[in-house]
Amino acid sequence: MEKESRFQKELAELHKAEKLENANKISWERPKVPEFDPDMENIAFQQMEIIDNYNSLKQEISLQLFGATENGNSVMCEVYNFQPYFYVPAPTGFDPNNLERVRSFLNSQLSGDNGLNKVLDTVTKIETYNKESLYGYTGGNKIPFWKIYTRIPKSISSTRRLFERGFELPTIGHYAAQTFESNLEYVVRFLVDCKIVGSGWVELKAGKYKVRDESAKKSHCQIEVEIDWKDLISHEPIKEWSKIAPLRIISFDIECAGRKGIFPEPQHDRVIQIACMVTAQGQNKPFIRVLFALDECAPIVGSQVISCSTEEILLTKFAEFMKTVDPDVVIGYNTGNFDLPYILDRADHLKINAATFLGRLKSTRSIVKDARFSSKAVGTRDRKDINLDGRVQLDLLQAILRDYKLRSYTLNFVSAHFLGEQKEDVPHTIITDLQNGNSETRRRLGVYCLKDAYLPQRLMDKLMLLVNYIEMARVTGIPFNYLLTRGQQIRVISLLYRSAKDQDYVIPAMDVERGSGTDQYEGAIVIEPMRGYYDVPIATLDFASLYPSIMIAHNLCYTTLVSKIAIDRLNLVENQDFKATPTNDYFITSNKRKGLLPYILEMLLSARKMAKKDMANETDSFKVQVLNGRQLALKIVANSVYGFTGATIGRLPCLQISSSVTAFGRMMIEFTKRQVEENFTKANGYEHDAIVIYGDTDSVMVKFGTPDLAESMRIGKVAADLITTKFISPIKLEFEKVYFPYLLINKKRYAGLYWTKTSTWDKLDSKGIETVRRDNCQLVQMLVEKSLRLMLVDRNVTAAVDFAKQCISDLLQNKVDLSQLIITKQLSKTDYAGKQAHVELAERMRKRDAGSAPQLGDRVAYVITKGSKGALAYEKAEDPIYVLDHGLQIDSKYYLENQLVKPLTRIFEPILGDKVSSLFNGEHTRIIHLSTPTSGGLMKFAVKSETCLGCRIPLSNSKKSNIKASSNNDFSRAVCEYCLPKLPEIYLKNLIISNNFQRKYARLWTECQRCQSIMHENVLCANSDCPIFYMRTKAQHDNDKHKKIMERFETSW
Amino acid sequence: MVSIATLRSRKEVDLEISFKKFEPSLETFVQQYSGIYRKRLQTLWPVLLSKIEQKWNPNIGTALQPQNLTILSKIGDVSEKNDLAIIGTLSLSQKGKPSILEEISKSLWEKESSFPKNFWSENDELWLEDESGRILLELSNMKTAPVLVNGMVVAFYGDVLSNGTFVVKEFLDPGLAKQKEVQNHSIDQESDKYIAIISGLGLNQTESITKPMQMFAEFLSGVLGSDTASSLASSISCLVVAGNSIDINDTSSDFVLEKAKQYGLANTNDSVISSVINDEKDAFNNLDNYFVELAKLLPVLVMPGDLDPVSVLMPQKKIPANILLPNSLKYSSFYPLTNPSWFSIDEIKKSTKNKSALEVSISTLTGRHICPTSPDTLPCYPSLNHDPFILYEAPHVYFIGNQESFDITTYTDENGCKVTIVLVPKFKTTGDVVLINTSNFEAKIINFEL
Repeated sequence: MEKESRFQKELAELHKAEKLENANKISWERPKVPEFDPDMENIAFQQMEIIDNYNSLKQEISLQLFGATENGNSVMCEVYNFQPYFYVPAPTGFDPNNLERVRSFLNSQLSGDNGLNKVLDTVTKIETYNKESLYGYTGGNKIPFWKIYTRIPKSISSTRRLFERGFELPTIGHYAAQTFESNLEYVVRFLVDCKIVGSGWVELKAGKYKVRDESAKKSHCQIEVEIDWKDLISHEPIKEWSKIAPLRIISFDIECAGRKGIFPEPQHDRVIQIACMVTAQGQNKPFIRVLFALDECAPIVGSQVISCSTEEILLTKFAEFMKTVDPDVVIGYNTGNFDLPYILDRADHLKINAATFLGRLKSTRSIVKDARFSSKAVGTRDRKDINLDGRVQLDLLQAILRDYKLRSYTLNFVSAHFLGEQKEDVPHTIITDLQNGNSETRRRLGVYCLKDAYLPQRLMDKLMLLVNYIEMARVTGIPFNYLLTRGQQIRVISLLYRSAKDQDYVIPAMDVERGSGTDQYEGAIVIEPMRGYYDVPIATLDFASLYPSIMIAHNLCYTTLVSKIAIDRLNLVENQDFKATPTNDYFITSNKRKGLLPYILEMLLSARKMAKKDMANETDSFKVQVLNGRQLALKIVANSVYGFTGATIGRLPCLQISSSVTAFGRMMIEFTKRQVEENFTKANGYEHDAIVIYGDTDSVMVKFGTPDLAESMRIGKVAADLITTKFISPIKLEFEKVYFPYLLINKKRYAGLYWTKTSTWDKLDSKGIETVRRDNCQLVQMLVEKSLRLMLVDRNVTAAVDFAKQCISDLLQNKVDLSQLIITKQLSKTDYAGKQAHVELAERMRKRDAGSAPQLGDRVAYVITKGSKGALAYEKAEDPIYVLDHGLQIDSKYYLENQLVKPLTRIFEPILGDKVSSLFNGEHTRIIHLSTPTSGGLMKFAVKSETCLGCRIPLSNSKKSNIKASSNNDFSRAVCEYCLPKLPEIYLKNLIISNNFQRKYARLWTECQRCQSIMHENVLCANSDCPIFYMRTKAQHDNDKHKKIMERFETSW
Repeated sequence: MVSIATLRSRKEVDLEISFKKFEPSLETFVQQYSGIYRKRLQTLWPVLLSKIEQKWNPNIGTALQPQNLTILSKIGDVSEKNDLAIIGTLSLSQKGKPSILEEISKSLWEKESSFPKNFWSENDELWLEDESGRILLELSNMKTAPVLVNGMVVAFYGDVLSNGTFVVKEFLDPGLAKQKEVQNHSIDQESDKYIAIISGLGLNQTESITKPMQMFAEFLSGVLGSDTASSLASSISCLVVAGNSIDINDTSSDFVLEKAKQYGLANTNDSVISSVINDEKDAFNNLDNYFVELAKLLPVLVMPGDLDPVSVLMPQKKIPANILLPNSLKYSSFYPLTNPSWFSIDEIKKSTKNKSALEVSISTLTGRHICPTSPDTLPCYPSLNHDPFILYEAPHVYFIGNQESFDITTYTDENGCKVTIVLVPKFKTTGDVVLINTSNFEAKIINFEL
């Protein structure tokens, strides 16, 4: 009986759970697709991803476009019949009637290529068009090119190789030729030819498309259609089509139960929680908040908690969730290299097939592939590639790594940096403990996990990443996914192809010469700085978009590059038909032929001007963001065109262009310097002779001599306008800002107070001054910042010197807070050459406690301690917490010599000159030995007796000497008899110190309570990137120590 | 601010001082602040529960009659539902609160700001939390806004929205604690007895005993003024000195230094603090002499304040009279006392928009907690399972020291319990001393301005 009733109860509960889940499911789904008639209604959608799909059965290629409609319905559109192709120049004198014979010859050579059915032709069609090679001017005549179509994209390269190797051509003989446009990706080819841009809108006209019914669907998208490529209509992303669909964005984070001291491994360690936040683009709060938790987890306010009894259920439910929510964009922090691969590897390990279907295609599993990404701009990085077919991935870590230079890239640091708040960080070991606790502790973990899942979304919003990336995709035309996974080059290539097609140029497929990357040409100029501290306004004159405007002004392009031979052959006249650049390369003038790159650049620059203008007139804040994203993207792309021509391992290097650009740049800076110094002189009626004190790449710093800010701004403007007239349009010298005062330390190292208007200064600006270097301790940063502030804002050089001296004195007297002395270094694999302090320390910490020791990839925080006599430098590094717990002494000399001397010398030398060494010697550097070590060595055996709080004389042990110390000293535990008259002062002094510690303790620990957003539980956070992490522990120690001192003032009265 | 001296006032003063409950109990600083909140919630939770059952019970027929009131035992269990009652500790998220983290992380290139004087802003978020989690409160539907600050334990009635927000319709606090019967107050009705309260003498290094202070001492001795004055003086049975007897004010002129001090980031080098120490010592010499004068006349009870040299952590310890006031201590009529919290009212005001000191004082009585913003913005001792500020018993007289001006009100709860709330002004700026009648708790002020 009883059994049955319990069973019934269980059933009822199961039923309840099921009902709840179904209700959930409905709330997770996308909005219903409105009824529509395919013969009457168009479908417009914003495509976000394009996949080429090869049907090996039918041996046919198609493209699948994924995206969302304005209603928020997901769409998959399969596009048929777009055939890949490339060009080769037709042999001279070839009879077009023989074209079919060439085709069958090629097919005989390529039969069965890439697994094609031998019955099928590899080359499906050859057509002849008149085109011109992009590379080099040869008179401007078009010649016939063969446009060779192949059945599948893979066959392009085998066909290309055939041409490059050469073969016997009927009626012509041996024929070998460079191919054109044979190295362009199929997807980009498609986009170029259809004039579709990445993340742009496409429209399918009524009657032209076919809707697939549910059973024929290949994807989970709500609407699935097919269409011929010629019927696809693309909308330029302007006006109404610049909108962004309400894309669904999922931000997620997983937690794993790691073992002590070992980073979680999918072969061993369970996935215990997955938190997901779903937001619709354009909205500021997630509308779905779900936590999948292993084992019973207590409910969390405002979120759905789905407790799963096994990991299998957990992972499967997550995959189902993905399918139901059907996000367009998947974001997270390091999800590309950790969370997603972990889920998939874990699912593989547990053999849960269903959990690996995370994409939109019904029959495609998501798998992990190792990939390497290397680019001149960002270096080489190993990463994992995961296909979530139809969904765009945006790993915030990757994006931030690419776009921002930071001290550290932990989520802790990044959120502190961009969101201005510290992140609670629960250590791995505690995560496992919380999981193994009860449903309440798992709730605690869940709250933490949800918070971490929300952070990427907030970071993305804050940095406007999605909007900016969409705009970048639109400006360059490449698919969204390429922006993170590919380099800068593809962006320029896409632009180049788009313009070339309109003007009948074909682009040569150049062989990338490996190892030829050593070709160097002279770069930008740096005018030797006249170092010093300038207490007069220094005006800065900048060339706006220097390199793009040089290329436009001088018509530098592949299409205008002309060789000496061609000049002679075509009888071109110098300075009329062509001009020589400072590097003695020749380019056709723009009135004879307008170059393609200048054309593209003009387009980009005017589009940017337009976007900026629209931005100024726009009132809707979201549209302003979109436009801002666009103008930024346009600027970045315009600047990368120059780099593209100079990339020697690139797709289309042309050093004649890039070296001419830098040479023009150098000339212009020098010319500007001369102009300034010749025109703005006493002889010409100015109060002072102007001097250019420094110049770099595209700017010069001018000392006009006047001490008056407004006057320097006025002359700055006059100078900029005057010199601009001497250059070819669109080159423009602009007056932008004045530095006043200005501290010029060296090349690329300076600081100054930045003024654009006379009323107030804008900011304190600095370049190349190591306030942010990671292996500096906070003290250095604080000291440099404060000194600069005193020098530049308060314009009080003496105060800056005094301040630096005071800090050095504090350091040597151990009065600097330990948290200011912490140095961090990353523990990476390659570190075993030579003994390094942080590596050695990590090893020692592992021996003490494997669980909390830093792991590979972590940053190790340490301070340098005095250590025993003769200890080697690497032995003196110690864990700050250990130092606090054991009262170890800091090696202040080390900090002075190895941390402070260099940066301080750098900023003070321009002022103090040779006297700079007086900072580090002299009265203020007297060292006071404060106390003896309290641990180690002989101290274990020493009897510790209290010393007088007034004069430090040892006090006789109060208990023993009770009889003897008959005296009237009630405070024999605090002071000696001689100091007794000074008791009030001694008490008051210690009280001030004690109160300072107590306030600090209270402020710090309440701060952490607020940050972890619960007051009823202890703070668990171990975020050692947080500036108050060590301070917090130190406050505990200081207070415990001082409490004992204050107790010594108590008597039994 | 204090209440708790139970007074049996006769011709000879019979003082029973029961301040023990406000002694700090400090274990170590290794523990954190969560214990205080847990103890607070555990103590007041059952009080609120029974009050909810009484007030929001549809069967009893109160003003509020929800059809299906559900009382949540854990906030974490909340789901989208109407007619819920929840109990928890308020957590007030205010951007304007002082933050040591912000202070430390801000660039030194930013302009310095002063330590915040008021934390309130439009964007404040109010959360209610217990051990299981927290929920965001939406208060716009409330007709009147009670004093709601961080650390108060209260109950709300309302609905939970799908986004997890709690829309408040009604609010409850624990209400006055039980009050002891006033003993013997019917005896001796012809001659009223008074307790005098003086606050904020504010001695400093330059001023010794001021003329008004001297006049006050003379008044107490009966030599000042008319017969009525001297008979009034003779009916004063004891004097309470309510905080800030000295006021060195070393940093308030420099807001950067003052801020560093408030965050515990001050420089405590000998050279920096030695002048303060000497000033304080001199001030205490003068104060000691003054208290000797007073202690000769009547019992003097001395409480510390935020400017007095005792630990900043609440509840404040006694001023170490054996070190600083050795001569006064020789008199048996001199009693140094602890201060449970006297500046907590000022601190609470900072978190509110425009609440008066009296409103705030009443809220601490009905909230049964005299220092709710500790530890959040007012430093206090950490403790594992002790919250020294809970009121287990309501006082008869509740006075707040160091106020700008005198004010008085009587709060009466639904059971007829009465508490007299008195704002005692700063003597230094007003010359006012407050007299409280021990039989009917009425108050009057005497002014010693020149």
